[in-house]
Amino acid sequence: MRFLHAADLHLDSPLRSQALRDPDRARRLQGASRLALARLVSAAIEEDVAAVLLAGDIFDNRVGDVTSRVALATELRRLSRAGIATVMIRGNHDALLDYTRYGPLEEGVVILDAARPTLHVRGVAIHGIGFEERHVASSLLPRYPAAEPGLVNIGLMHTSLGGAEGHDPYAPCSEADLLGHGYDYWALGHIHKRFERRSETTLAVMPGIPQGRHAGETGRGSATLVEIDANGVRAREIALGAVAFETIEVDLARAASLGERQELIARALRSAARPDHEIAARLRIRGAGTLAAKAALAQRLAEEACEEIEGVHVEAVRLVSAPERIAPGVVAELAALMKQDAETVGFRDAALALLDDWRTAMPPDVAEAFDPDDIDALIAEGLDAVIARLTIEDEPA
Amino acid sequence: MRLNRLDLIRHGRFQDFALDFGQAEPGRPDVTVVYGANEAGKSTAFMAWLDFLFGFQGASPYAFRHERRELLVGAQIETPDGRLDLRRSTATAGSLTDPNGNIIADRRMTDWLFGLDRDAYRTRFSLNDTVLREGGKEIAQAQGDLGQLLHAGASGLSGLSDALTAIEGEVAGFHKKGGKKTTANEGRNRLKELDAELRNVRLDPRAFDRLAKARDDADAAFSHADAALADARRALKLREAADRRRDMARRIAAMEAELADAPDGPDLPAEAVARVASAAEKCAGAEESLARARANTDAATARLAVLSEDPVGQQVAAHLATLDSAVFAEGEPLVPRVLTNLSDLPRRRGDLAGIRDAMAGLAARLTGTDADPGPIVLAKGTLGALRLAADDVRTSRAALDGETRARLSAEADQGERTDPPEGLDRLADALQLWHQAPDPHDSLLALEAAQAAVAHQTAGLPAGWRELAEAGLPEVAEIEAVTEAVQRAESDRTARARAEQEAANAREAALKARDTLAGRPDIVLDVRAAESRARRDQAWDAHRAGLNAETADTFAAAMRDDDAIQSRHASTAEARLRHSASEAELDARTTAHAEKHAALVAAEVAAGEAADAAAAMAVRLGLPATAPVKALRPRRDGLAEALRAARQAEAARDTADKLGAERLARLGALREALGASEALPLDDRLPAIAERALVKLKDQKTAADGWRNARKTIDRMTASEADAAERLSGFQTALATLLAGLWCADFDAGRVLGCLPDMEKLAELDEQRRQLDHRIEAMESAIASFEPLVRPLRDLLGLTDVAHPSELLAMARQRAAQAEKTAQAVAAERKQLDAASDAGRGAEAARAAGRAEIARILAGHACDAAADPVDMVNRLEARDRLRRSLREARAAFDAEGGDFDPDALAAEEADHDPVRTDALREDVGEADRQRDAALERRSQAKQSLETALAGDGGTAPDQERAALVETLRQGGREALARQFGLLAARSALRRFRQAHRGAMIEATEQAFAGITGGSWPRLDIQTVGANERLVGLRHGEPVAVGAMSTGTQGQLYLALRIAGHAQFVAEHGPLPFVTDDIHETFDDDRVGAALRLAASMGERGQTILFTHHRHVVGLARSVIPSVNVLEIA
Repeated sequence: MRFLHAADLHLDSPLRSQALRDPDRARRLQGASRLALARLVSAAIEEDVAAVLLAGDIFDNRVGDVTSRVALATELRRLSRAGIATVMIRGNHDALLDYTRYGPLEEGVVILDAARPTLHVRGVAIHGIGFEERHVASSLLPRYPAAEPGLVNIGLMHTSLGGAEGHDPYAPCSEADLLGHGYDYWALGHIHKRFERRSETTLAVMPGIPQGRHAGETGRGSATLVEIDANGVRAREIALGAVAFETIEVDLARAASLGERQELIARALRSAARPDHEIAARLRIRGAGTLAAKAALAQRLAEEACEEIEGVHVEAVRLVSAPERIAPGVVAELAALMKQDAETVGFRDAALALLDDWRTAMPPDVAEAFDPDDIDALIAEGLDAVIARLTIEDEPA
Repeated sequence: MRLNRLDLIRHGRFQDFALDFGQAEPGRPDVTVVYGANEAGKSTAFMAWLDFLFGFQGASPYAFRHERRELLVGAQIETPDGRLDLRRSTATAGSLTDPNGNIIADRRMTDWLFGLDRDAYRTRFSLNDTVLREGGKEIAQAQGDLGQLLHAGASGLSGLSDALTAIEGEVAGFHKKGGKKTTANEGRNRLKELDAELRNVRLDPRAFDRLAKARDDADAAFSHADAALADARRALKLREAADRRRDMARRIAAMEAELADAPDGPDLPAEAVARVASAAEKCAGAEESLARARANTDAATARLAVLSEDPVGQQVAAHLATLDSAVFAEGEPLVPRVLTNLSDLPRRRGDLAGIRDAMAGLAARLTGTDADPGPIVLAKGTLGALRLAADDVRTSRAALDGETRARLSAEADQGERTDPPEGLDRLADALQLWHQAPDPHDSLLALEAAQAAVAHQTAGLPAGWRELAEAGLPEVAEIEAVTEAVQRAESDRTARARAEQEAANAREAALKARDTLAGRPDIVLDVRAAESRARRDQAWDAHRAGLNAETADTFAAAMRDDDAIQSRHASTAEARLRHSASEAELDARTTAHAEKHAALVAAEVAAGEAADAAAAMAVRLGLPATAPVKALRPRRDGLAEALRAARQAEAARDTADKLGAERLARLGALREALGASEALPLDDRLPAIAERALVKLKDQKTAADGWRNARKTIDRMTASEADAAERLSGFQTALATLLAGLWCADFDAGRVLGCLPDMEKLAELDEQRRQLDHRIEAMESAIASFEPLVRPLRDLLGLTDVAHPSELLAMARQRAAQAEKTAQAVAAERKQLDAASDAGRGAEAARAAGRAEIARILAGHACDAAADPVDMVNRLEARDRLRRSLREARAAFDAEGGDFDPDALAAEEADHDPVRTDALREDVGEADRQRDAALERRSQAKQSLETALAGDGGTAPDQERAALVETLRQGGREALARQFGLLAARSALRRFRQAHRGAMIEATEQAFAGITGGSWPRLDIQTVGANERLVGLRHGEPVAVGAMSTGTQGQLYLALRIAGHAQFVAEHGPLPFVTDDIHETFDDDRVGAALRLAASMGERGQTILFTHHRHVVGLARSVIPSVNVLEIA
C-alpha cells in the first residue's frame, strides 16, 4: 500500500528573489506553490496511493487570502474524484482550514484533531492531532493514541522536533520519544529541509517544503512516497518544485579578461541547468579582481551569461570581495588602520547607532534585515567592500 | 631578501654564466658595481633578475640564442626561509623550482617580496633610465604608491578620497535621511501602492465574512418571499377550482337529461361502427365475385370443344430431343460435328498428300538417293542430343587452342629467378613494437604536474609532514568533535563567567541595598523595639521595688524612650518589611552566586580538558600545542591532500620509469633485428636506420615474390591446357556414341551441325503427317455413328435413306414444333376452367362470414331485420359517447376538489363575488414580484462571494512585493555595510595623513640635496588649482620639475626612489635595489654623490649598479672602498 506525504506547502507564499522583479519571470513563477500542489495531486493519482498525508502548514499566515483555499479545494477535488482520501492536520499557519468559518474543503478530506485523532484507510490506522492555536509550546506526542495492534499505524505531526535552525520551536518533541511511540511511520511537518530518521521499527520523515521560496531553502522540493508492505516501510522522494534555489560557487581567479570571466560564469551556470525544473542561481564569486568592486557590472555579466542557458536565471550575485593580499603601500596601510578602528568599542557603538537609524527609517519588512546581532558580519563585509574598492582605485589605469 | 648569485643558465647570449655577488659583510655597505661594455649583456642580466623574480613574460626578446622554452635563469638568494638555490623556467605552471626540480610555490616568492608585483618592484627597486624618468614624473604628479606618500597631505590621496566620495554617493543613493529619490524611499512608496493593491485583490478573511453574511441574509429574505408567494398561489388555486366546479355541475345536469331519450342496452364493443361497416361491405363484394365466376366457366368450356392434339408430332419431338443430346468422343455434340465433317473431309485428305511429297524431297537431299523418308526421320530428342554433342566438340577445341597460346606467352615473359631476403619479418616486428611503445612525454608531464601538486600541497607544512600523515590522520569527525568540544566548552565557560559575574553583581547590589536599609536610623527593627520594651519593663520592676524618685525618673525616662521607639516601630513597618526582603534577597543572591561560581569552576575545568584534547590533536597534526582549533581541520586536510599528492607523484614517477625502461628494451630488440652490431647507436637514431633497412628488404622481397608468382601462373596454365585436351576427347567420344547405328554414323561434328536444319525440318513434317492421319480417321468414325440414330425419324416422317441428313432434321423439327403448340393451348383452357370454379366457392363463403359478424356486434339490441345495420350501429355509438362524457365530467368535478379543504372549497363555491378571483390574481402577481426581487438579491450576493472566491487573489502583486522587499533588504544590507566601511575608511584616511605628511618630502629633499651637492637644498609642494606639484627651491626661488635640466630631473627622480627605498625598508625589510646605467646624464660630481647615497642605501640593504662606464667603476671604488666590482666580458 502506498501513501504520498507532504507538508509545508505554504500555498501562495511568494518567492523571495530579486530576480523576480523581472515581470516576465515573475509571471512565470508567481504560482510556483500552486504548481507544486498540482504536481503533488498528479503524482498521487499516477502512483495510485491510498491517501495523501498533509502534515500541516498548507497555507501561510502572511498571505491570508481565502482564494488560496479555493485553489486547494480545486486540486483536492481531483483526488476525491480519483477515490484518494486526503488526511491532514493543522499547522501553525493554517487558520484558513477553519471549517466553522469557511465550510468544509472537499469530499474525502479529513482533518485529524484531538476530537477525531484517528482515521482508518484500507486497514491502516492514521493518527494525528493538529494545532488548535497559533503556537503550541509543549509536545503533542502524549496526546497521540497508542498504536493499534495488528494494524499499520501512521502518525501525522507538525513539530520542530528538538529544534532546527531558522524554525521557531513548535510542539517540540524528542526524536527518541517519537520513534519509540510504536507507530510504523511518522509523517512530519514544519521543518523545510528534508530528512529521515529511522529506528528498527519506525521510519520518520520530514519531507521539507515542496517549493523552496528563497535562497535559504535550496534544492528542489519534494513529497515523499511511502510504501508499506510485508517487507516494512520504505520512502522515496518525488520531486515537485518548479524552481530550485541553488548557490553556485565560481572562482574567477584564473580569468585574465572580462570575457573569460563571463565564460567561467556561463560554464558554472550551464552545469547547474536541469531539464525538468528551473534553477534560481545565487552566484558566489571569488577571485573577481577589479570586478569585486563593480557589483552592477558583475550582475549584468552574469545575467548576460545566463541569457542563452535554458532553465536558469540569476537570483543574485554575491561577490566575495576581500582581497587575498594587499601589496604594501597606502591602501595596505589604510586597510590596517580601518581594521584597527573597527575593533574599537567606539566604532562598534557608532555602527550600532547607525544600524538603529536605518532600521527605523526602513519599512518593517525591510528593517528585519538589519539585525543588531549581525553587526560584526556587516562591519567585516563593509570593510572588505571598501578596501576592495580602494585597491582598485589605487591600481594604475 | 638578498641576491648572492645570479645564474644566467640559458638566457640571451649567455650559457651557464654566473654573476657572484658574494656574501654581505657586516658593517660594510652592501654595494656591487657590475661593469660591462656595450653589448656585453648587462641589460640582459638586469632583465634576467626580474624574470627570475616574477617569471618570463610572453615572447621574450632574450630568446635568440636559445628557444624560448629552453630559457632558464637561477639565483642563490637569502630569504626568511634561509639560503636557497632556485631556478626559473618558462613553464606555464610550476616554473620556479629548486635544483632537484621540486616546484616552489609562487606565493613564497610573493611573501619574500612583501607582496610587490613586477611593476611595483620595478618602480621602486629596479631602475633603468626610462623607468627612472617615467616613474619619477608619475611620483611628482602624485600618481602611484610613492606619489601618494609624497603628497599624502593632500592630492596624493585624492584618488582614494574620490573613491570614498563615490561610495558615499552610492550609499546615499540607496538611503539618505529626508531623501526623496533614494532607492529606499521609492521602494517604500511602491510598497505602499502594492499594499493598497493587495487589499483590493485579496479576499481576506474579514472580507470573506462580510460577503458570506450578505449571502446568508439574502438567502433568508428569499425564503420569506417564496413562502408568501406560495400562500397567495394556494388561495388563488382554491378560488379557481371553486369557479370551475360551478361550471362543471351545470354541464353534468344537461348530459343526464339528454341520455334519458337514448335506446337502452349495453355499451357497444370496441370499434363496433367500423366492424359493422366493414362486414356489410364484404357481403356486397362477395355477391359480385360469385356472378363473375359463373360467366368464366361457361366461356372456357366452349373454347375446349374446338381444339385437337397431334400424337405423331409429339413422338418426332421426343426422337429429336434424343438426337440433340447425343455426344461424340470427348463429349462434343454429335449433330453439329457430323454436319461439319461431311463438308471438311475432302479438303483434309488433299493436305495429307502434300506433306508426304515434301518429306520425300528432304530425304533425297540428305541421303542423295530416293530413299524412303521413314528411316531417315530422327526423333526430336536424338536431334537435340546430336546438336549439344557437336557444339561441345567445337567449343572445347577452341578452348584448347586458347590455353596453348596463353601458356606459350607466359613462358616467354617470366624472366630470371630471384630468391627472398632473410630477417625482414623480425625487423618489421621490432619496428612495430617500437612504434607502439608508449610516449614518455605525457608521463613526464604528468610527473611534473604531480610534483608541482606536491610542492603546492606541502607548502606551509612542517618538515616531518610525511611521517605525520602516514602515521594515521584523525578522522574529520574526530577533529570536528574536538573543535566543537573546545568551542562549546569555551562558549559555556564564557556564558558561565558572564552568569557568575551577573550573580556577583546582583549579590553586591543586594548587599548594598540591605546595608542601606540597615543603616537608616529612622527604622526601628523588631529586635530594637523588643529591647526597648524589655528596658521599660525592667525599669518598672525596679521602680515598683524601690518606689523612689530615682526609680520613678528612670522608669519615666525608660517609658518615654520606649514610647518613642514603639511609635517609630509602628510607623516604620513598611521599611522593616523592605529590610526583611533585602535580607532574604541577599541570602538568595549569595546562594545563587555560590552556585554560579561553582558552575564557572566546573566549566573552566571542562574547557581545560577540551583545550588539552585540542592541544594533543594539534601536536598529532604537527601544529604547536597552542594552535587554535580552527587550524586543526585545514591542517588535517592539508596533510591528507599532501599525502595523496605525494603518492600520486610517486606513482607518476614509477610510470615514467617503467615507460623509459620499456622504451630502451624495444630499442635493444630493434638493434638485435638489425644484426646486433655494436656500431649501431642505441638511441632515437636507431629507428630511422631500421626504417631504411626495412625498405631495402621489402624491395627485395617484392622481386622474389614476383618471380615465384609468375612460375605458379605458368604451372596453372599447363594444367589447364591438359584439362582442355581431355575435355575435347570426351566430347568427341560422346558424339560418336550418339551417331552409332544411325543412317549418318560416319558424320563428324561439322557435318552433323551442317545437316541438322534439314533433319529437324523432316522430323517436323513427319509429325504433321501423323496428326492429319489421326484427324481424318476421327471424322469418318463420327459419320458412321450418326446413321443408326436418325433411322426412327426417317420411318416416322416417311423419308428414304438417300435424303440428306440436314433435310431430314429440318422436317422433323417443323413437325415437332406444331404438335407442341396445340398441346399448350389445350392445357391453358383447362386451367382457366378450374380457376372460375374456385372463385365461385370463395365468394359464397365471404358473404356468409359478413352476415355472421354483423349479427354478433348487434346482439342484445332490438334490431329491425330490414334496417341498414350501419345506420343502427351509428345511433348506438352516439348514445355511448354521451355516456362517456358524463362519466368524465363527474370525475373532473371530483378532481377539481383535489387536496383542498372541503369546507373552504364549499365556502368558495358558495361565494359568488365576481371580483374576488381577479383580486386574488393581483395578490399572486405582487408576491411573485417580491420573490423575484429577493431571488435577484440572493443571486447577486452569491455571485459576489463566488466572484471573490474565483479570483486570482493577490498572487501577482504579492510576488512583486516579495521581490521588492528582497531587493531592498539585500541592497540595504550592502549599502549599510559600505556605510560602515566608509566610517572606518574616513577615520583611517585622517590618521594616515597626519602620520605621513611631510616625511616623504623631507627624505627626498635630503637625498636630492646630497646628490646635487647642495645646489638644490629644498623641495616643496605647491598647490595649482585642484592639483599639487613638486618644486625645487634654488636660491629661494621655486623651480618646477619640468624647468630643471634633464640631469637634474633624473637626480630628483633618483632622490624620490632613495626616499621611497628608505621608507619601504624601514617598514617591511630589505630587497635588492638594482639600477642599470641611470647615471648617464649625471656629471662626475653628481655621480659621486649618487654613489655615496648608494653606499648609504647599501647599509640598509643590497644595492647593485650596472654600468658601461669605466669611470663610474673608478668613482665607485674611490667613494665606496669596500665596493664589490664584477665584470661581464
